[in-house]
Amino acid sequence: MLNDSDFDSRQTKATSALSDSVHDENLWANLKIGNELAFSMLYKRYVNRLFNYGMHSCKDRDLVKDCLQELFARLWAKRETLGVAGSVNYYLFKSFRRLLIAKLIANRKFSLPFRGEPTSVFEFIPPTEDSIMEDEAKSHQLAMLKNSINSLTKRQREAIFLKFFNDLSYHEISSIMELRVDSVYNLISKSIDVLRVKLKGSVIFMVLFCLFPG
Amino acid sequence: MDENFRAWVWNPTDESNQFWRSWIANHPDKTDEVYEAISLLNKLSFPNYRLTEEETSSLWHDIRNFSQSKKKVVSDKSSSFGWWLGAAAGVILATVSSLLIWNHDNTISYETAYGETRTLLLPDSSTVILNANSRIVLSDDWNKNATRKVWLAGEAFFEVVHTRNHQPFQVKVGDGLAVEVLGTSFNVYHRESDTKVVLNSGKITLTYPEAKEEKKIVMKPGELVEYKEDRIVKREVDPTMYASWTENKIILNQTSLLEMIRMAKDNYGVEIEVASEKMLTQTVSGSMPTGNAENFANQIARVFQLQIIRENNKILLHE
Repeated sequence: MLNDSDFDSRQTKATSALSDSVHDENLWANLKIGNELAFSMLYKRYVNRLFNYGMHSCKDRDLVKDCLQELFARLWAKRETLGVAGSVNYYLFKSFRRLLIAKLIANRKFSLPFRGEPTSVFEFIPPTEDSIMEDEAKSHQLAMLKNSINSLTKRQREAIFLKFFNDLSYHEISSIMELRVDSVYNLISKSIDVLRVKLKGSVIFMVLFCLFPG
Repeated sequence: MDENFRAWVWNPTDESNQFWRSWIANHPDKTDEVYEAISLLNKLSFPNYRLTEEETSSLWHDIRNFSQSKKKVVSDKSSSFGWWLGAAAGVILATVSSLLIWNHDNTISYETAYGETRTLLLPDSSTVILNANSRIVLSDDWNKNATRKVWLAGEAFFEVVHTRNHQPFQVKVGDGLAVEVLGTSFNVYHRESDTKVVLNSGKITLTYPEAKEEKKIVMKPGELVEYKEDRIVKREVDPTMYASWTENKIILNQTSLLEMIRMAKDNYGVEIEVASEKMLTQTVSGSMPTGNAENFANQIARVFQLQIIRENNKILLHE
């Protein structure tokens, strides 16, 4: 059943995936005074989280890597003038998304003229078959779960991704996605409704229901 | 179950582990449900795209090159520490970059060349002054609960910041000796098979292997511990003498010529020979400035009142 090694293995997994904000601030302060070590640690801590985020919106590996290079190079070049705009997590996600959108628009100029909202180039693409792990697909409930994530809109998916997988607040998400805060609340509560219907009767429904009441 | 549950599953801390373990213990009927919920929550995720290890380091390399090409700063050449510590902090930080090495095994290292010292700021705000011809390695992932670990080859002076959660700081050297502290200042010397630790302030614990067992000793300020050939020797010293190199000078207190020659080799890579073996036991007291490789040998000759002969890159001292 539940033994200590279960806890410990999850602990390791979680600490490497989710960073501790106090420590982030410390790294940030040290980055600002030119500490290379702090800079490299921030890079190491965030590069894969941002990469993952970028890859969900465009499957162009090289483009996402270009944006990461520019993001971190700028961060170092401008370290002395960096502000303390909320959490480091938020700052990086927001700046990265902006860069990615600028690059996506620039790329389109060479093919079709671009019309509409700049942010509409940033789309949260549903996970493809090959990206679902085999053992996960075996489980009926997980198939349902995958199905339900795919039934969300792009914006709902992005909001859920930022809120529950990257620990960003409603306010931060509203700034990142350039939406009003109440729209973010709506997006997330609608997403939870969708998940609730899709997952009715499963254990996961019970968990989600308890987690996000109302 | 509430939001804390999700937070615990996705981002467990010592505190939440403790809370949920006792909750589960008190609700044995719910154990199956909890276990299933945990396993599902752990799998409720978007596909995880990751960079390969090679991509991660080559991207880092590009970032460093990119930002360096934009920098109009001084050369990255090493220099003697004569003017080094007096230089502005900005210059020190700007030039440090060339020495930051990102290893493939998730560690970061700094190296100094002969005749060069560097002041490093660690991510926890602790400082390390790395003496010449030394190398320090640390893991690139210091998280808030783990021991802050560094590995040292050469010599360094540490000023360790005490963290709010009393996170230990550990310096390891090649032969199994480890210095563990919470916050204090001390000097560690480790070259070849000789290790010396001198404590300036605070309290440190040394662990070392002896006959395949781990032994511990606690040091007080003003103590020097030498670890050589699996043996520990402890004595009282003036700790400022051992840290004087951080201020560009060497304090000599009954210091032998043998020791000075060893220092020339350690810090400058300079081999000095003597005309006769018996000269090596001569001692002097006083202080002398450190300098570059060239004048360090001259300084030695001066304080010991010896003649210096240079021939084909060889330095010979005679009476």
